[in-house]
Amino acid sequence: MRSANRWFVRIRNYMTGRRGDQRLREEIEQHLSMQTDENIRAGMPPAEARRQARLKLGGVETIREQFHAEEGLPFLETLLQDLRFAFRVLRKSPGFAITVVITLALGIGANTAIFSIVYGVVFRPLPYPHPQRIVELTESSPRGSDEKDVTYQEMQFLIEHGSPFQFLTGYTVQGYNLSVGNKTERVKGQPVSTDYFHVLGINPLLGRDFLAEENTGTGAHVAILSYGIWQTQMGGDRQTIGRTITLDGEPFTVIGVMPPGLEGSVDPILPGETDVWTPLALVGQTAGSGENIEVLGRLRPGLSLAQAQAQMRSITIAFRKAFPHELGPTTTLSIQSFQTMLSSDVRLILLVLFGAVGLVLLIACANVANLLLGRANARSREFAVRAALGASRTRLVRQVLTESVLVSIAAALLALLLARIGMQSLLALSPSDLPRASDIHLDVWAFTFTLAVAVITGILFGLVPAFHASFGEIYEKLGVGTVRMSSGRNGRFRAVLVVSEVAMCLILLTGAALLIETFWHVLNTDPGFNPSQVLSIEVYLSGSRYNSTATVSRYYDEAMQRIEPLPGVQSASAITAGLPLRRGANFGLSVAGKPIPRTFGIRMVMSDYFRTMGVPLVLGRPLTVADNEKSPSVAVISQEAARLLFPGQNPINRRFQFARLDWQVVGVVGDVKSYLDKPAEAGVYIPLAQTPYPVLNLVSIWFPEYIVVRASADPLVLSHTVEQQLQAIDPSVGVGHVRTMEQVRSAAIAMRRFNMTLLSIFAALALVLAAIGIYGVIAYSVTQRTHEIGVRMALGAKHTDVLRLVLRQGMVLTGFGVGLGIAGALALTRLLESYLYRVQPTDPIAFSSTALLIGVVAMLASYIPARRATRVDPLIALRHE
Amino acid sequence: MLNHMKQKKDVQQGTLALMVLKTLDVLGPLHGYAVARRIEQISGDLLSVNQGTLYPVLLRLEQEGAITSDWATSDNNRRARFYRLTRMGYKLLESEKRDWEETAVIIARFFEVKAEDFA
Repeated sequence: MRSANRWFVRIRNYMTGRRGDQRLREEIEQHLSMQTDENIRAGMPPAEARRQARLKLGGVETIREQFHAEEGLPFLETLLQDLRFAFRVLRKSPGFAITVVITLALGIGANTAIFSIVYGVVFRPLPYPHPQRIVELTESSPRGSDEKDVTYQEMQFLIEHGSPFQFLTGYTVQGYNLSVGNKTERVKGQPVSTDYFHVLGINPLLGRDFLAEENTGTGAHVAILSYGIWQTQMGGDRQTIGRTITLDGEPFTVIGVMPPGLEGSVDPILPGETDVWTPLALVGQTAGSGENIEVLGRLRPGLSLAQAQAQMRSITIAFRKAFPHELGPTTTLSIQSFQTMLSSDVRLILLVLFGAVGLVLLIACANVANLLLGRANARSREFAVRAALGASRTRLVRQVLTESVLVSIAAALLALLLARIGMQSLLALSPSDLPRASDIHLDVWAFTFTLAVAVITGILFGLVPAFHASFGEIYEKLGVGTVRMSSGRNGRFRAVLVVSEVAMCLILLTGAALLIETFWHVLNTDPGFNPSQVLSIEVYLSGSRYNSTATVSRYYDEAMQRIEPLPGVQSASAITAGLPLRRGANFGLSVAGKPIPRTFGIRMVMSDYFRTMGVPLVLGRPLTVADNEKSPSVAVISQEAARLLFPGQNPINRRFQFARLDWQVVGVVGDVKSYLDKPAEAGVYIPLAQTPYPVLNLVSIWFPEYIVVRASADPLVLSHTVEQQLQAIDPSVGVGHVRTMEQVRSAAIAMRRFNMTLLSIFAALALVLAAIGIYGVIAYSVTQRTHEIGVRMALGAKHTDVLRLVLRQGMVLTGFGVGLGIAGALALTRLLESYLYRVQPTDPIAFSSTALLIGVVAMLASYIPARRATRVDPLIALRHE
Repeated sequence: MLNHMKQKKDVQQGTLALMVLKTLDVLGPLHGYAVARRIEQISGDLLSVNQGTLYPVLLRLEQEGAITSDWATSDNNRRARFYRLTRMGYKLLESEKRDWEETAVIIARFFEVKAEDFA
């Protein structure tokens, strides 16, 4: 209360600028005259009486200062004074100020942007209650662990025996043609069993969850919509509940709408957020998806992941007893955090990138420390003078803090801008399949943290001159010429900073070089087909109108007849079960009734496929229009498939069995890659018209069918006409995702391009910062050694000698840094191993080229001050002292 | 060195404030010089060097609301600023006095303690 009162008065005084000076002067005057009167009465002469009175009162200035301090808010006034002074000081050395601000801003900005992305994708807890209790069923073997796909019966067995789980559920994913009114769109569907939403702990925004009876038998035709689909397709209408929508031509009743931002499936075939949920019982028993159910559980409250993991052992034993052929002898059922599974593909590389950007921050901090230390020496005279004039240590420290904070605030504002721009461009650059992209926001904590690191660095090293000045070396420093003496230890410390900067920079550069080399190799990998001037269009034939091989192939026949005569079209074809450079379907085959222990990428194609795609024919003949439902089943296989199926034999006219049919090989084509950085799969091509309908139906659940068109010029020009022709055949068929094969290839390497670009940017940043660091140290040392250089030149040293002297200093520092950096890089580039392709983590080209690059940059950075050193006039230099 | 000096000043200011309060309590409204004289008479040399330090203390007490001041005419017809205790000032004096006495008792006990008492 008392102190509140006092503060209130003080703040009011400060705000109103009220000063008690007048009052104090009057009081003191009164005091003095009273004392003087008394002294006179005691017998002193008037002049002496006045003098004694003054002596007794004490120093009026000190009293006034104390009075004033009591009255207002002196620290605020000092702060303003400090700020004004700091502004003046920084304006006087704009080069220093700008370098520090930019260095810090780059470090803070880049870290904030990257941390925001890493946190959003990897660490931000899923938006469900107790997300750490949500786990995905996996299988672990000595080779590693992966999500476990089970059949419907196996899933039911696990639900009955899943003792560690409060709720256990199964789900799968599939594409649906969603028709509302007469509009058809391809959406991501997720058939789920009962309790799916209980596992996530999410209630519908509107309507209700699936009932247990809707998920028994063959399932009820009910659907729950995502928030996004509800908004775009139903206009966010609250009357949506109870309305009927069409999925793959069949009517479904909408029973619920889910809140936005639901991340509920781990599935590489159809990544991204789910659009519509249906009962799993609808598809659970059918052949294909029956083997592709993933299991999601919510652990019982209080049960740790480790405890639950232990219970999985007994579940594995029971499971093995019930399904003897399902698990390999060394494979066990286990569980893994759902959150980890969601980001497992990108987790490591994001952490590597995060580490890399952390190094950039370290380099930035080292640089700031370096710059401040250099300045500390230059300013030690200034501080010594101010200390001699009576500035207290607190006062000097406060001045330095003000400067540091001022610089940091400027850097923070710039960094915020950089982080915003950086994040937007990073997200624009990031591959579209980056998981959890919607969870990425500019992270306030990351920003605060990096800012704190930077500010502390600034303060720590900014304080050096203030402490120097106040530790009683005032006279020594005031003595001209001794300034040079005090820089010895300081100089060594700065050298250490530069060496570590160079080392960290080399690590980053090497990492970037490895990724660049990898990218170059991937880019130059022959995909096995000619992607230029080819257009691909996704079509979705499903529903009651396309329920036989004949109806499907009739659609494509008509499509080919309409597209091929179009001007600019060289040839056209269609492929299902997977486009080159895209994930596709894999099946097992038999030869002479014996299963081959490998899977084969079986694709159903229309005639002219090889010519359209530019896949070279090696042996025999391609598939033609004559290979139809009436002719014998034939196939064209890839060279890899030929090697696996018929090793050492001529594959032409040999036979294999697939889908209970006997297929005769009529031709061999070159290998086509599904992944650029992996060996080509064994490819088998069969005529679409000869494919049994269950197989066609199965692959259409996951994979779009593609019409491919080879154009004589830019293929995108054709896209509109081709789409029109397809619409004309059947407007109810979904058509979309028109892309050139060049774009498909580009998308296949998007993640690599993203990683490479990011690491390269960081490395470039690091290089620039390290160059600034080297330049700073050498330039400073040249200034310090002006006298010495003058003496040398007076004694006959030539320009080249001086040049060599200074350059050697720079190169020695760089040499140490490079040596240290190579050791660090050898230890760290192993982290990148799984992202490298045809490059070893210890690749000599990457190591030597980065070392060379750093050497050249360091040479340039020290050349500028070295040349300045050669211009030293010995006469002036000597007089300078 | 600096710290030491600062501490000493703080003690003086606190003591001085208590003395001011007590003086105003005993003698009623007084001007600054009279307060200084009174404290000097009683405390001997504590204020003899720097009487001026009294004024910041008076200001502080006034800003805290323990005393108020007004211009008035003194005995010998001079205009002077007279300080007097407020109700809060009386309360403050009471509590400060209690604190001071408690401290004094504790300190006194410590001085009475002999080495064998710790055995």
